[in-house]
Amino acid sequence: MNKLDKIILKYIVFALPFVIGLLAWGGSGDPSELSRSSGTIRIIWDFLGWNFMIWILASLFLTSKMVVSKRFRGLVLGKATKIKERDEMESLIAGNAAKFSFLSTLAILFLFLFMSLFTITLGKYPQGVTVPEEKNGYITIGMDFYPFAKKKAQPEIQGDGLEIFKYTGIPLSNSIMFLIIILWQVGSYHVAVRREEALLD
Amino acid sequence: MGKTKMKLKIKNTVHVLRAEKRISQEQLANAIEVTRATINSIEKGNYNPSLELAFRISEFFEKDITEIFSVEGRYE
Repeated sequence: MNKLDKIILKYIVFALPFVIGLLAWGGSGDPSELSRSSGTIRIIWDFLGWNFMIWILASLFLTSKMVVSKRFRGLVLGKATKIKERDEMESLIAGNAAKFSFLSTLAILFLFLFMSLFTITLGKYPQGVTVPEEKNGYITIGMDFYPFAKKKAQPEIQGDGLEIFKYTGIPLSNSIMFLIIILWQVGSYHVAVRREEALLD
Repeated sequence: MGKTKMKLKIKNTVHVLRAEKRISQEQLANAIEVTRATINSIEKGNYNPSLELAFRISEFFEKDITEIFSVEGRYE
């Protein structure tokens, strides 16, 4: 890791409380009012704002570098996720745990993909509409695949009829989905390491 | 389903040799550059070292590799 990377990494860690402080401050008050204020409050607000912008840029730089640089990824993420490979037995444990983690994460990704593909709608027919076999409700099941994000469908009122329930994909934000995958990968890796260590001990 | 793998059960005398030399697992681990947990697993027979590590152990004890490691049996 070069000197610049070390400085940026330290900056990201030590500047994080100021970023959280800014977000909390902005969330509790009116940000536009704060930016129009004067005196000490304005100076602090501006300082935190600049810090936030630099922090975002630094985070983008480091996360991008992690994707392209194998060595940097190994150093930063290896340390952050506490992967130990001090000798051949630990390398074996790390390898087995990584395999477990990779396959279980892949299974979760397949589950997420499937859950994001299929659609279900439960509804009630409007009054006066000719319906087969005098049924008053319906269920539709389908599959959807869009490469770009679209607005999630909500139950709709159609005449007197009402869609009671509509499922058109996983009702989670992208951030939460990515967070779940990250937590699962790190967690499953460490569970597998404990299991391997118990077998060899 | 499929073929069953034949595995060798390997026994070793690391524990005995270490006792003869009056050194701890930690000291042996430091000398051959592995962790104490690895020495513990080898002594218990839970982990078979690589050929390279087996040679390092035999060099440390100044013994032939076959005097330390031997095949005890086979299992599927």
